[in-house]
Amino acid sequence: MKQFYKTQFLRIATFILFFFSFYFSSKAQVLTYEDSLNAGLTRSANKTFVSSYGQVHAGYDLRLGKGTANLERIILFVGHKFNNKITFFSEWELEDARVENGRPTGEFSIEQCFLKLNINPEYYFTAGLFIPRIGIINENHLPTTFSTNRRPFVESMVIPATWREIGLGFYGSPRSMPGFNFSLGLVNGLNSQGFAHGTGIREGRFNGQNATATNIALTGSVLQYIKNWRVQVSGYYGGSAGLTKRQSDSLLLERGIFGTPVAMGEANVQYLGKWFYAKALGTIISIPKAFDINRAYANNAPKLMYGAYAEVGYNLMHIFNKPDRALNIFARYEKLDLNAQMSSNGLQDGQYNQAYLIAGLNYSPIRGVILKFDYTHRITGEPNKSLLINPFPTAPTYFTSNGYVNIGMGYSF
Amino acid sequence: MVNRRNFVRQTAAWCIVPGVLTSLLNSCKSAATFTSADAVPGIIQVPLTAFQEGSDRINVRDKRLEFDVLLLKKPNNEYKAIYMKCTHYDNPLVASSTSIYCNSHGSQFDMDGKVMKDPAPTPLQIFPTSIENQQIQIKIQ
Repeated sequence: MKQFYKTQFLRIATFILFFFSFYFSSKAQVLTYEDSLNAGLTRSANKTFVSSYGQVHAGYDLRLGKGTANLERIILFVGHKFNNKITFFSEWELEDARVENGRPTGEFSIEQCFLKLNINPEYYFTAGLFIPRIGIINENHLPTTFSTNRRPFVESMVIPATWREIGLGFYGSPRSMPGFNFSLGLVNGLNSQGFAHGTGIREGRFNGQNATATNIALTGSVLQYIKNWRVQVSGYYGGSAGLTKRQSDSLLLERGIFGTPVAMGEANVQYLGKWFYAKALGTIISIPKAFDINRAYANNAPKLMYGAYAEVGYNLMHIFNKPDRALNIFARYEKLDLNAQMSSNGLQDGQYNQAYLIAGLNYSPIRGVILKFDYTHRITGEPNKSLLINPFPTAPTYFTSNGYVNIGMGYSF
Repeated sequence: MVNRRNFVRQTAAWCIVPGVLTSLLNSCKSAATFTSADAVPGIIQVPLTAFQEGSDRINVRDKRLEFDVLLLKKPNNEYKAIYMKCTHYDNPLVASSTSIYCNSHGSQFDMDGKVMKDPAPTPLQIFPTSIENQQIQIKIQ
């Protein structure tokens, strides 16, 4: 067995060496400095770019009568274009304003760090820590591109955006198929030990930090633009037990590349008109060996969870015929269940069967700046009291119906 | 146990696949595209006949440019050459019949290159065009 892994490692290493030597040797299409100069494009041939986005949010809980204000995130993009074939991208994120030793809040993380290798204008590879194309928000999460103060709940709680892992991606939009795009990704898998009650697979992500690479995942998407419509289907299938043989034998968990698998399917449709937009998304996640995970870690992992939402919006600036500004009025309905189906050793919890109705306004005085206002109404089932091991005697009442008023601002440049 | 011969043979097989795949992708061509051959300094020449019957658009590729040029035929026999590079982060763009999109961050442009949806800050680059000797001249300099 040891020999087998050694052989596989040598083979993969040789393959990677071969690939990059092949890639860098195919210089025929690389623009020379002189070509770029002739084309008047010298500035774009080699440059470093820095940009940023951020989001501030203040919310008021109508039931508790409590308000909060938070610098949700501030992000710094740093990229460098080595030449017209190779570009470096990185995204540095600080959440909740500060990170201080011993304090529970705040997170600093690298959200993306990858090299993009262009084959030609139609196809490119990415290598490093990157964000696979799953759903809408995972890839396009600038605050100026979504209407509400908070990202869609389905794309935070079911699809754990921003979901990034280490691996290789291959993207294409063949000229022979106008409007068609695809993506394929090979990334490290998940860690089922992190799956937690109420957060789905979110805490099972590695996000680039000491990921186990003996379990991997495949992702893929197809995307078609038809006039003002954007239709996408994506999927994910990967192992969640990157354990040693000793560990897997002890925990009775299936190990291997796709051992203890997690499967996800997602589809979304968007209509992106000049003044009107509509979008709908549905996703489902299956963890067929949830029983084994719960037996090993007692984390009440679900066997099945799903989520869906639909949103419509209209730009009132249409009335004033000002296309460079936006005053969008919008409404969204979301439905999700993080424990739609449990294994026989799991406990259902109604509080994670949730519905949201959100309506609001946002205003963009100029491109890259957005002011947001929305009202969010949340309806959930009753919490399962069996899950409270040591019930707190003066715990506040859980409201199955609650409203939140949110204001905020976002920017990106 | 894998012997050296099998190792070399199997590894070679692994390497051939991406090599062939990359070559195939590099050579992909389609009827709706035109690859510029004549290197007139600062100009891409596209024959009027390059447009297929009933088609009002063509993708033009030139080795001097990093991205394709979307050449649109307007009803009054004018031509518009849009550089398919997103003004946000220099990513490639994809066009439907009514809009131009960037997959990387969600920008959307109309068929005049104007921004319809953030985060792109500025309109797309438009190259001037003219017609000489049955050739559409796209001035890229």
